[in-house]
Amino acid sequence: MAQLNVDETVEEMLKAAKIVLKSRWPLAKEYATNEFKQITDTIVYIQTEVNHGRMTQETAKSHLDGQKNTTKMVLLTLEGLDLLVAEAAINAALNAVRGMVNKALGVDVL
Amino acid sequence: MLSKKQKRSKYSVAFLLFFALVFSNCKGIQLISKYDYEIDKSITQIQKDMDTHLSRLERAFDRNPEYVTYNNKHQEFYIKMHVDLRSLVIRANSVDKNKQTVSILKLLITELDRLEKRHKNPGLKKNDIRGPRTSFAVGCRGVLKLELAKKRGEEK
Repeated sequence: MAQLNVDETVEEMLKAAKIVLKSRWPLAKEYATNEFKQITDTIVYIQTEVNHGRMTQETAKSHLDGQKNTTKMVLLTLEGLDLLVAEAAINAALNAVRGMVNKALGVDVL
Repeated sequence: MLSKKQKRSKYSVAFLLFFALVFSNCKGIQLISKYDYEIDKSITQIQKDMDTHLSRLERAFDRNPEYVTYNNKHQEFYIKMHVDLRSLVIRANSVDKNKQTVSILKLLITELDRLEKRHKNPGLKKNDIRGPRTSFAVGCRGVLKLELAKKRGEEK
């Protein structure tokens, strides 16, 4: 089994996550990078154990399924962080409009 | 007959009044649930408990380098961890817009099941520890990160 390149793998994972987060990527990048690195290091560890005959393919598959779920956990966290940023942005916009409407009407309606 | 300027002014006022009526009860939108202190506290404890369990297993390999087999004490740990995680799922599910936290917790239960199943049969080898350690560290960090981000948003 060819050895996985950690840096390349982390880069690919980051590219995929970046597409999801688009403009909000800079906020999540550090978190995502650290987590994807830890997951990739674990995958490389599993691969090494198989290559040295210390782990069977079947056991490795189970562990790799575990790391797939772990990657999903990171993506779910990123999804939640994305919603928080969107919520803050929308409420800031609403507050700005609220101020403008109250000023235009000359009374605090909102 | 109203002039163009008077008509524009009339429509502007009508628009503003309509906007005011629509948003008069609007305190802001909520896309995700609010901060939950219990989830914050509990997930930190779950991560510690799992790390303690895995560290003890690693030490056990000093005595028996091949396999660490399943015993009653291990069973108690897995039962407690299942109960703790399931309680947290119930709590997280009881609030609206908490889908991400609920899903992460359910994935952690899946990984706990995977670890316990392997522990029962054929037993755990030293190289079986790394995977679950990563899964639990990443998952618990994810749940905590979301709660702390929600808390920061509320403090502003």
